[in-house]
Amino acid sequence: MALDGGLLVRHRVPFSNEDSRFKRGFNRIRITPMAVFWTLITFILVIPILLFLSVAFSPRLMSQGHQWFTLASFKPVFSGAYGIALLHSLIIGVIAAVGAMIIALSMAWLVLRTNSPARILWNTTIFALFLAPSYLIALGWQRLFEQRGVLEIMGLHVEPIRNLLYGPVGITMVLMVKGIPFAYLVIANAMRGLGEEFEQAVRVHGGNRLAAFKVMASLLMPSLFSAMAIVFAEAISDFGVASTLSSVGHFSVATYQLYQGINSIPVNFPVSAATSITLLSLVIMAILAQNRALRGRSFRTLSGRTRPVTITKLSFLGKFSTSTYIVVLLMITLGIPVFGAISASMLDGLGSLLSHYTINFSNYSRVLHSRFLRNPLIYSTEMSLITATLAVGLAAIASKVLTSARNTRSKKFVDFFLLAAVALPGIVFAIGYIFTYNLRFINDLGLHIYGTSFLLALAYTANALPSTSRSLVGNMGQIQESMMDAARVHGSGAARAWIDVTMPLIARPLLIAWLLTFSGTLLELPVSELLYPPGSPPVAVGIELSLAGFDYGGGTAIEVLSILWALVVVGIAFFLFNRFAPPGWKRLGNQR
Amino acid sequence: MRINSFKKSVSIAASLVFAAVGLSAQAAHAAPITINLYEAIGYAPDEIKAFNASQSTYQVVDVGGSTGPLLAKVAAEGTNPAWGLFWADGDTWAASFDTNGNVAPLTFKPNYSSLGKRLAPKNNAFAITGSTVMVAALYNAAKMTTPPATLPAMLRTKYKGQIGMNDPNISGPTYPFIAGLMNQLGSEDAGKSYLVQLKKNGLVVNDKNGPTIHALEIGQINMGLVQNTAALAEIIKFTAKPVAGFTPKILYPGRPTMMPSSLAIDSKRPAAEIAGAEAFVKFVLSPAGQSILASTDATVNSDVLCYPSIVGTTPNKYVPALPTAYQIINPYTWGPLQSEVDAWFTANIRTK
Repeated sequence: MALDGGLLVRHRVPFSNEDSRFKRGFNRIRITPMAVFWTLITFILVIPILLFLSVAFSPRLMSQGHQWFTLASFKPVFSGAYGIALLHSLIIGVIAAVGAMIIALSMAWLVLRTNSPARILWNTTIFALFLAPSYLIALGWQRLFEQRGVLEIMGLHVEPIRNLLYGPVGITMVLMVKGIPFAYLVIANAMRGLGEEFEQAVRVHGGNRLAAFKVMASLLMPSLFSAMAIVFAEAISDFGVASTLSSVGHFSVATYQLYQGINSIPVNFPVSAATSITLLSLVIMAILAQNRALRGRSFRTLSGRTRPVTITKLSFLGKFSTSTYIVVLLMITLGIPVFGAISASMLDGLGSLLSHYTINFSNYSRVLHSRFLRNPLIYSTEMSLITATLAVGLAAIASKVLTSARNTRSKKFVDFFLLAAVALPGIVFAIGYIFTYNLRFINDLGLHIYGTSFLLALAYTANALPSTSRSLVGNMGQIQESMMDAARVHGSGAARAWIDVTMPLIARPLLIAWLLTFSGTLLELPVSELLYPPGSPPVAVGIELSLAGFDYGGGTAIEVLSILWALVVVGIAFFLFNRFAPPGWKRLGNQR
Repeated sequence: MRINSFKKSVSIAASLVFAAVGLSAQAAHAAPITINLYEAIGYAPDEIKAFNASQSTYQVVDVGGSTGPLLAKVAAEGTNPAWGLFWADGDTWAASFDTNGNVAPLTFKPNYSSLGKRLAPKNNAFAITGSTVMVAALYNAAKMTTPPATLPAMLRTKYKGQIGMNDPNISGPTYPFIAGLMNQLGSEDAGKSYLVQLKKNGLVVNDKNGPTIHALEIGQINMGLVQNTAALAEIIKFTAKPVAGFTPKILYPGRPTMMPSSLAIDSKRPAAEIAGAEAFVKFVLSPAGQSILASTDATVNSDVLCYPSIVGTTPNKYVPALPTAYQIINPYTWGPLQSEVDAWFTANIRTK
C-alpha cells in the first residue's frame, strides 16, 4: 500500500541496547501525518459507513432486529419498481454531472481566458450560487412555472414546460444548476494552474482554437472528473428536490425507498441500508469510469515556470454573445433562487403575484430577535470555522493520495469512501455516526463523545471531506513532484519544502476549498439535526423548526440572513488573502 | 512503510485521539444530572424554560427537531439511548415504544378531560398533552361555494382535480389520517379503495402541509386535506390580512381522527432521571404548564392551537370548537401497519 504522500515527517528514534522489547517496539513507532490521516479516515468515514451498511445483512449487530444474518431487507430492493427508480437515479445523476461539468467548463474558460465584460458578474456571485439551497432553487422554479404562477400571470403559456419541470427534466435541471458552482470552482482552480504554453504549442503546430481548447480540456481531465463525480454523487443521493418536483409527475428515484425505511414506525434501517448499498453500486460504476478515462496519463503541468495566460480578446459580437450567456446563466442559477427567497420571505399575500401582494421586510425584522437565529448562527459559524480548517488539512492529504500516479489500493480505498460519503444521504451518514459512537462498549471505555460538539465537528468534517478533497484534486494533480524533490535535495525538511514549494501553488485553491467547506457546513441540516449537542441547535435546525411551525416566511428569512452572513465571511477571507498573503501565493492564475 | 509499522502508527494515533476525546468528554459530562428532551413540539422550549426555572433539582435540555429524524435518532441509539423524554405529535410512535418496552409508565394519573381520557393509553404508558385533528379540509370559500362535506361527496366529478393531500411518507401526521380513513370505512382495503377512487378523481399529492396549502392559495386545488393547526394558522393569517378571492375555511368531511401529542419517558434511564422526567411531565400537565397554551402567540407558534387534554385548561383563543363528530384510533392496532400502508401509498397513489 502506498502511504507516503510526500508529507511524511519521519523521526527515527534510536534505541539503546538495554531497552526492553516493548520499548524497542514503541520506539519504532512513527506518528506521521499520514498515520493520523488514515486514523481519522478510518474513524470518521470508514467505520460509520460500514456499520450503517452492515445492518442490511445483520440487523442484530446494531440492535435493529433479531437476525444475525438475513437478506430479507433486500426484498424491496429487488422489486421491479425499485429497479426503475434506481435507473432513474442513475440517468439523472449522469445527465446532471455531465451538464454541470460542460457549463462550468465553458464558464471557467470565459471568465479566466477571455475579456467577456460580464465575467466580473460571475466572479462576484459564485459563492452566492454555491450557497443557494436546493430548497430555494426548487421553490423559485415552482413559483415561476406553477399554475397561476408568475409566468402565467404575465400571459405566457407555460403548461408544456411545467409538465417537463414536474418530472425528470425538472429534477435533473435543478440538480444540474445546483452542481454548476461546485464544478466551476473545481475546474477554474485547475484552469488557473494551466499555463498558456500548451495552447501555444497547439497553435504553433497549426491547431485552431478548437484544437487548443480540446488539449486544454484533456489536461483538465482530473478536475473535470472530480467535478462530475461529486455532482453525480450529490444527484443520486438527492431526495428533497426529487420529492418536491416529482409529486405531480409521479417520478420515482432510489432515495425514496431509503427515506421510506427511515420514516416508517418503527424505523426500518435494514431496508434503508440495503437501498444505500445499491446507491453505492452506482458510485463504483462512476469510479470505474473515472479510472478508465484517466488511467496511465499524467496531468502534471504546474511548475515554477508555469506561464501567465494571455486573455483572448473577443470581438464585439463575441463580447455580446458571451455576456448574454453569462447573464442568462446567472438569471437561472441565482435569479431563480433569489426569486424563491423573495416569494417565501418578502411577499405578503399568497406567496405569488396572483392577486394583491406587498413586498416588505417584516419577516426579517421579526426574526432578528428569534431564538432560532442569533445563538444558532454563532454556534454554526464556530463549528464551520473548525470544520473548514480540519477538512482542508485532511483534504490536502486526501487529494494527494487521489492524484497519486499509481492506481494503488489506498487510492481506490479513499476514492470509494469519499464518494460513498456523498452518495449516501446525510441522514444515513449521521445514523452511521450514532451507531459507531454511541456503542455501549465505547461509553464503557470512558469515551462519551456522542452528543458533543467534538463529534459534530468530526461528522461535519467527514461530510465535507469529499467535496473539499475533490476541489483540490485538479490542482494537486498538476503539481510536478520534482519541485518537492529539488527542495528536499537542497536541504529543506518535508514540512518546509511543502510550505515553500507546494503552498504557493495551491494557496488560492486551499482558500477556496476552505470557503467551500465553511459555506457548505454553515447551513448543513441532516447531520446537524441528528448529532447536535443537546441545547445547542445549529442554525439549520433553527430554520427547520421555524418551517415546521408553519412560519415559512420567518424560516426563509433566517435562511437568507445566514446566507448573507456566509457571504460576509467569504468577503472578509478574500480581503485578508489579497491584503496579507505573500505575493508568491497570489501569482497562480495571473493574467497578462 | 511496512504494514506492521503502519498498523502501530494507526493504533497509537487512534489512542491519542481517543485519549484527547475522553478528557474533553469527561469535562463536558461534569454537569449536574440532566434529562434530554427530544421534541417536535413548538412550545416545548417554553415549557422547558418554565420547568427549569420552577425547581433546581433537574435540568431538562432541549433537543428539538422534526418527528421523523428524531425517531430515527432514537432508533439509531438502540440499546444505549440518550433521550430521557420524547414529545411529538401522534401516538403510534409512543405505542411502538411501549410495545418494545422502551417507556416508563407514569406513576401518577393525570387529571385528563373526557377527550384526554379517550386518547390516553389504558396502561398510562405515556402522557397525552393535547390533540389536533387529522384532517381538516381547508378550502377556498371564494371559489368552492359548496364544498364536499362527506367522504363520498369528495369523489363526485364536480370536485375532480380540486382536492389535495400530503404524502404520509414525508408528512408524519398524514398517516393517522389514512389510518382513520381505513378505520371509519371498515377495513384497510376499504380505505385503500377509497384513496384509489380519490386518485382517479384527480387527487393532487404534495409533500406536506406547506406545499398543499400553497397549492390551495394559488388555485391549483380548492381544498387541501391538512392538519387542523396548519389550516388554523392559514385562517389566522388571512383573517388579519384579507386577500380578495381567497377565503380559507375549514370543514371536516366524514369523521376526522383526533391525533394526540404524546410525551413519553425512557425506561432505560437511571431511576433519578426517570423521576426527573416524570416531574417534567407533571409540570407540563399542571396549570402552570398548561397556561403556556393560552399565553403563547399562535401566529408564530401554531402548535399551541391544540385541544387541551387536561381538565380546566384554557385553550388558545384561536382554537375553534371540536368537530361535531370525530374518531379516535387505536395506535397499538394501526401503528404496526404504517410501513405497509406507506409503501402502498407510494406505489399506488404517489407514483402512479
